[in-house]
Amino acid sequence: MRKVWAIAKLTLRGAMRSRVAPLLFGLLVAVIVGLPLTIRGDGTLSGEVQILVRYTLGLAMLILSLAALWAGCASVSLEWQSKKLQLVATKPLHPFELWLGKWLGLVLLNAVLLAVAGSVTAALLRWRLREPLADPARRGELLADILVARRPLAPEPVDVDAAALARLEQARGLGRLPPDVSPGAAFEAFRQALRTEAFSVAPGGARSWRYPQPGPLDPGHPLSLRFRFSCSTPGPVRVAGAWVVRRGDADVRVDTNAVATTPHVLHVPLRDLPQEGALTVEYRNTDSEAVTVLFSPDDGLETLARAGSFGPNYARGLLLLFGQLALLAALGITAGSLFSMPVAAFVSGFVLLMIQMAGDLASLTARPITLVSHHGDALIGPRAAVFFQWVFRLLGSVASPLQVPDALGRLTTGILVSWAETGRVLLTHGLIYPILLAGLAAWIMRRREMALAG
Amino acid sequence: MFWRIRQFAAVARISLLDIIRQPGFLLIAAAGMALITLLPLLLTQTLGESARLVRDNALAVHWTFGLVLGSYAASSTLARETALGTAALVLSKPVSRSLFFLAKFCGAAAATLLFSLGAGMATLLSARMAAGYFILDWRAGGPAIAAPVLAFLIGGYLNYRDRGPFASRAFIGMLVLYAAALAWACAIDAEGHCGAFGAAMDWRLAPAGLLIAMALLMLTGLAGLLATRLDTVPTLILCSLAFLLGLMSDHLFGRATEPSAAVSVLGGLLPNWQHFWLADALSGNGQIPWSYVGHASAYGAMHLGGLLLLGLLSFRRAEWRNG
Amino acid sequence: MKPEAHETPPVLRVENAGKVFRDFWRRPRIRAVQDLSFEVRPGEVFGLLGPNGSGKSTTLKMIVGLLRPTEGRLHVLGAPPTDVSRKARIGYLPEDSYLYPYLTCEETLDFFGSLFRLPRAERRARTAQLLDMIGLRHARRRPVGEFSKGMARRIGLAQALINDPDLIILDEPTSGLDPLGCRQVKDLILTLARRGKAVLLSSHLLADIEDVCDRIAILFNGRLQAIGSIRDLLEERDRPRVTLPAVTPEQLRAILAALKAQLGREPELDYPRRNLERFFLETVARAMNQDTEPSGAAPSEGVAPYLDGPPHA
Repeated sequence: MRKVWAIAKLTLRGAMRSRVAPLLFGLLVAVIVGLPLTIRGDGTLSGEVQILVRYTLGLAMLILSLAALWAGCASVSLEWQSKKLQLVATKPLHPFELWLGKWLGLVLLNAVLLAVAGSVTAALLRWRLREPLADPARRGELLADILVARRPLAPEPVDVDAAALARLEQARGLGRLPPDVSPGAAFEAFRQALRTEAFSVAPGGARSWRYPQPGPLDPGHPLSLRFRFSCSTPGPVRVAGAWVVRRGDADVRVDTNAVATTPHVLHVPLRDLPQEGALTVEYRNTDSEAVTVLFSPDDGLETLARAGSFGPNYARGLLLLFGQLALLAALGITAGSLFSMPVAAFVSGFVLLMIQMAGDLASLTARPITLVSHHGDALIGPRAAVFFQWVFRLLGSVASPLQVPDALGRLTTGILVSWAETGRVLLTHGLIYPILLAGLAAWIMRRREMALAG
Repeated sequence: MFWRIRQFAAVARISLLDIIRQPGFLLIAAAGMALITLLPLLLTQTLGESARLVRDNALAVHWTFGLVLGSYAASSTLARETALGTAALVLSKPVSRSLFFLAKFCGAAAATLLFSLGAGMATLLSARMAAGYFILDWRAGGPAIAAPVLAFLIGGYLNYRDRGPFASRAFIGMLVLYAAALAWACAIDAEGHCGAFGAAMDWRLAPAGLLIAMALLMLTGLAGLLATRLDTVPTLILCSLAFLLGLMSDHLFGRATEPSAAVSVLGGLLPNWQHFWLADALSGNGQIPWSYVGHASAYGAMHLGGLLLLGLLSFRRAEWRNG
Repeated sequence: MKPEAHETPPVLRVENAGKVFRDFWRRPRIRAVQDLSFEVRPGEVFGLLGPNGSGKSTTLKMIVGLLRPTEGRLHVLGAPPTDVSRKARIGYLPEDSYLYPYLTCEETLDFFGSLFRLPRAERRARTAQLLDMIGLRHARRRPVGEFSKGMARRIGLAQALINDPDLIILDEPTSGLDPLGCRQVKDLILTLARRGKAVLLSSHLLADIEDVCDRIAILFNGRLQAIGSIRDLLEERDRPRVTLPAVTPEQLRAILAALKAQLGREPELDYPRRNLERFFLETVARAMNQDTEPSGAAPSEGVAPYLDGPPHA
């Protein structure tokens, strides 16, 4: 460990004395203090918090990410090019120890810089929420809606597969399935239609979301319903409705007159509900006009229960960001161990892009990949299409574990960053993946002839 | 005087050769150009929106890859040569620092412009390939897709034959083959018959590409200025930041802000990249007037002049202990 | 070299080693070393001689594991050169010093010391002794990047000795050093050899090699041209030389006449001169007595005590 620490200290000294660390420090402070002064928000206190946390801390994180990646690449490849590693390689130092020392140095540097960025942002946030600057009512709303940690409750999934299969069989039986439509595509179309039906509320009707295991709910704090809907009448019309939250044999009803397509938050007191049992949230369409209300099956309603205060949530959010930086530094150092500087920066940037695109890659795998010719014919056969589908699926499955929950997005919407998620990210991004990458880099470095590079 | 021009040309030429012979340059340039060419294949299933998406994405790839290349070219030719002692060696000859700095910038700028030329040709070919609804014009775009592969094969063969530099030959090969593919695409119409030369091409992309090339020159100038004092990594980070802040310039310092002297000065100093990103102006049948290109270029030239002046001042005062 | 050195097993054995550098297409580009064999034993100073591009540095890089031989085998301290644990007993000075420019002298030596698991107190003591030895104690807080080539070379030499190695490999150790530094390095090499260390050095400065080496190998175009002890290779046994004490001109004339009568021809007569190195060292020593504050390297204060202990068993 002494050898690893010696390399780490060397990396830190290099960063300090080559002006990389002071430059980053200056940039971060300039961004965090300067950006909120120059950007004009929407005039609301919550808008300012959004700017401070999402944009300012987001930009600071972008700077740190680029720095972690490129400094990682440079820390090995430039030393290789300038032959400094030749001297180090003749000492009793395993390539794994060299990698670990470099990584530890960069991770420590990033931890300090992230802590500075996080602390300055938190200090600015506290300053902005002081009594003379913030209207107490707005401040209260902010503390209830955004500067809080709320846990999203998981609703019982709506299973329409059996019904979709039945419709498919019926269409086949009646010969209504067009010959150029595959059964898979037809099934998917029926499934989507049924899901949309399941989340629409006809005039005078009702739609329920059931939460079989809502977990412990603090009766002292209300349940938050965050919803958005569209309706059969185009435009931003108001629709009268009622939300009923039920647990056991007690319920609480809140009437609304909400505008379509706009996001709304409703706080429902939990004092009068029992502590045990499944929870049901029901929407009743009580509008006098014949308007059908449509909720998005995926995010039409979010039910949020208070799970803690903002401070610890913010700290956990920063830990998630730290996990991301640790992985980026590891990626950079590994790329720098394999390639020369510009190539390493390019390759690691590409890998980063793949991680960001993991979600899109996953969506591409839902159906076989097709290419259409000049005349509209399929250019690749069904086997090739399936092959490409598998390639994307493989890329998606490799990249998706590397994705991290959107910490800044959650902090600005008052959503909980749980300890379990934080622990998982720190374990995978801060330990398991770096060790795998270190193993790969050490394996390659042992096989390379040091004196040939540069 | 003529002697100075010869010196200038020699230093600039060597810088250009040194940059385009680096494998990293080839990798980034080839990846950018190939990605632009492959965009129609990736965006073909976008319900008739493919032409616009291909156009926008091609210009975005041109810009982002050019940003990395320009910053890398300028910083490698100045910071690396300073660290290696090559700069000190050249300056020990009767070469002035001003001439050296400007010639180095010109070498890096030429490399960036060559990439821009390639990316511009790839954009025109890509747009041509995706011009039809739901179908791809393989006759026009096919040769362009083959161009990078062919260029690498030619570069590899020449390297095998006479052990010459692979990277620069493959890069030049790509430019030549893209030019040939462009000439072919200009010569045929959508049905594959010979038609009026270039009639089927979307030439509105030319001024859009030119504007991006101008912006890339400014970024190369900024990287040159920074490289007089900083290593490659801080230069890349600062260039990326200048790029991001410059993109948000309107929002940060323009209409969205309260007018104040400090903010106005800051807004004036930071290049506003929005002046050079006109992909939206091409939607529908929009055109970018050449007069606008002239005005934006004048704005860019002014910024570039300022950056080079600062770079000159910084370079003239630089000291090298272990050159 | 001590007589018993011939009986001890070699610390370095090179057997028919060769190195071919290939191009991207795996075609042979340069045949840097061919069929090279030699051994170095404890207490021996072995020199590799040859013009530029003769394969000296390539050979040394193969020995320290920076390059892999394409033919033959190498045994360093009884193990292949890539064995990490054996590197704890090797000291290597490359042809250029390749130091971290942002580190100070002290930090540089401390850093390399910590790669050998040396305790902090030991590292500090050795660093101080080495800085005294190379005459850079006054510059211990200056970043290495600010140093002249000769000063960086001294630090390079110090880092190669921080672990008190058994096998010391020095690539052009006196390159960039002033005559004083060269003399100090040569004295140091002799001291280390007396302590039983094996020293392998490469140089094209023939005087340096002649001054310190027990045995030499001459390389040309990667091939071994000659190998043996300095005495065996250089001695001209058929041209004996007689050195006389101070004699009068009459005595000299009589001796020469006697020799001519014995040999049947005129013997050659010349007078020995002090060599330039010795003259330079004496002049600088006088100047140092008058000047107190050095800007570059200061005079050495002898060999670092930890390197000058009793000979190894």
